[in-house]
Amino acid sequence: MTIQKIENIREVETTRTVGIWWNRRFRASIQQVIVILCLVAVVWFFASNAAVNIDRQKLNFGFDFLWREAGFGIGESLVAYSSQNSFAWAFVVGLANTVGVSLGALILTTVIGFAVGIGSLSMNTAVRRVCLTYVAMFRNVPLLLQLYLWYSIATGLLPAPAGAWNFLGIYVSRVGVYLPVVTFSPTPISALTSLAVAGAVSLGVWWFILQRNLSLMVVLSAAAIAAVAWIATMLVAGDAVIDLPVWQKFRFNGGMKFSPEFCALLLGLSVYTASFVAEIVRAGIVAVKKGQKEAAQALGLTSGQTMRYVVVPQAARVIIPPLTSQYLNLVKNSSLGVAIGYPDFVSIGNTTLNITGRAIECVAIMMAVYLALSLTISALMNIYNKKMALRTR
Amino acid sequence: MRSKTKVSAGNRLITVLVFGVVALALYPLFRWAVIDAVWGNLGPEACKETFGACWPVISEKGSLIIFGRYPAAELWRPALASALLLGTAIVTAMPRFWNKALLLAWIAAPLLFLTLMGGGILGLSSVPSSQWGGLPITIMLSVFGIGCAFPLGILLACGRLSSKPVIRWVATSYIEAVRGVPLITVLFMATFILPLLLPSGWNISAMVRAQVAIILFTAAYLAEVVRAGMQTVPKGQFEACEALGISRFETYVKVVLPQALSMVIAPTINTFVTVLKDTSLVAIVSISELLMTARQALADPVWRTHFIEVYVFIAVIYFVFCFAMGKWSKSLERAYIFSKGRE
Repeated sequence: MTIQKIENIREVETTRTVGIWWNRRFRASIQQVIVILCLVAVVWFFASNAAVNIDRQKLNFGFDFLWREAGFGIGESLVAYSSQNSFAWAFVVGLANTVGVSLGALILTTVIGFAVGIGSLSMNTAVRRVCLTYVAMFRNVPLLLQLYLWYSIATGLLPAPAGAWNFLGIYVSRVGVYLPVVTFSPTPISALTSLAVAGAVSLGVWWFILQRNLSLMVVLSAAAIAAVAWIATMLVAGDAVIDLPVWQKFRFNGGMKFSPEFCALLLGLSVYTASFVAEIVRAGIVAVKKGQKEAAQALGLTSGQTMRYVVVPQAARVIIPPLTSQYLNLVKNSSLGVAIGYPDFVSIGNTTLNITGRAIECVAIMMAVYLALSLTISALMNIYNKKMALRTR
Repeated sequence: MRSKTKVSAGNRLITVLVFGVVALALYPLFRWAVIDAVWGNLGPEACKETFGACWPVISEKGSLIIFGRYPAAELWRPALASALLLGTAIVTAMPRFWNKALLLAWIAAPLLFLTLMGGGILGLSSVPSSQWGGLPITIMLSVFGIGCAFPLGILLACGRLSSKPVIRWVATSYIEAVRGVPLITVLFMATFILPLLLPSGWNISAMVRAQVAIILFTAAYLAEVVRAGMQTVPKGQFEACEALGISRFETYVKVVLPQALSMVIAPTINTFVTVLKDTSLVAIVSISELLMTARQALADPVWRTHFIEVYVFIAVIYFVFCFAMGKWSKSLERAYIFSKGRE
């Protein structure tokens, strides 16, 4: 009885001297309510202003314009497009262009970045110096400046198309780069026959030479062999022809064209991002402890095996997370194509914005799509990262 | 590993090959830039004869590139203003000057910069921000961008690590959303949408809107860097502060952040370098920073063909700043590792 009384008194005293204001949970809830109220106030402020301004400037709001005829031309596109198509389709064309140039640049970046990164750890001083100079030179100059420079070179310093540089059927001139391509016109029978031949060849190579190995690299190389064999059979059978670009009467005919804008953006993006990738690769390899290599050598592994089974898997764990963010940067940086006239997603969005005046909608579409692209890439890389992560018991 | 006695023949061959390729590539460049180049303060006719670089374009257009369209008689003002801001930044880069006076300098320097640039008081003629341009703008966007984004980034990082779900959720979604979009879309937003979101009476100049965009964008990246640092601080540090009755604010400012930031020196300064390089993007929304003024210089048909000289000139300026920051990052890290070694 008395004890309870004393406790009661104490409780009363505590609440009186400290107060509910000093209760941690109470303060936390108050803080969160304030944050929510601030957010609501800011959103309400912007939204009401937007409503007033849109009304006053006699603008419209809504995404209905997407289905109207775009009416503007797009210089190059990976999917079919004409100015009669809708704005929505123009956005799709822009997205395809963004994805196209990003994929190309991702491959080129990876190749250059890994080569330079490994080269910067070379035993050979000259190789090391060249690689380190490359990294310092390209990562310390803004990408946009590099793009302007590449683009000015591509359109100003390369030869006129009549005097285009030609190596092995590839024409390089200031109107773009023309590559020979293989065009197919198969009949069902010949397509099936050549597929069968290609399948047999690659299966044979995989069975006898690659020793039925099922690792990713081996399967990929078998697929590559199949593709080469397929094209070769088609060529022999006459269902495919090599389409060489030819300069005829003031224009190139045939072949595949890459515009100067595309080439400048591809090269600029790859060369710039590769300097970051090289640093990441170098740091990743350095992070593998020296003892690991020595232990592998002591166990009698060759230097190739040491690299493949000991160094690379451990370095990969260090390399993949920052590499992911560089890949993401590359995709986001491809938006700088707008500055040199490459019709990428941002460029199309910008044109649409200027034609329709739907600023909020167009910028919202741009942001939403890039956000979706970024989240997709990071999700994919996270899966790969999980696969490579150290499995502890 | 790299013992000089074990230079194999193959290694020598590679060295010779590399030197050969580099020499083959560098010699035409050297001829272009030095031997065949035209030097001095000459007109465009002087460059007609040569295939080399035409450096007179820099002496002719240098003032336009560096200072934009700022009134020619007042060029000492942007020069002094940039020197002040840059000087403060350089002093701040050295840990031995980290004291209270520096905080005052950081209040004074931006005010002095804006006063010198804008004028209108103290007998200085008024120059609207639409006439500002070139290097001072690049320096302003970078220094103000980093200076304002850093505290904001720290706040966001604390928010993301907060135990309060609403605050954590708000900070996390802000950081992830901003990091998922390219800077250029944020600049478009500041250029095209922000005027629609504000009351019609508010006329905020394009320069200020771009500056805000850079700050808000950078803050998200810095937040992630700071968060990475804060996650390396052991929980015991927080608990010890709590046990000693140190306030939450002081725990962060005096205990957690010094440890957290010293863990992430390199990525933090890398973000600073990125900010400097990214200021060039405001050229796309027509603000006259260094890259924009260089392109304005090239709009002159007489000099248009000498774009490489102009681009190389500003590339060297950017390179010097970025490379210096890289070196600073290394020296700070060394200083930190040294002091850690004494523990």
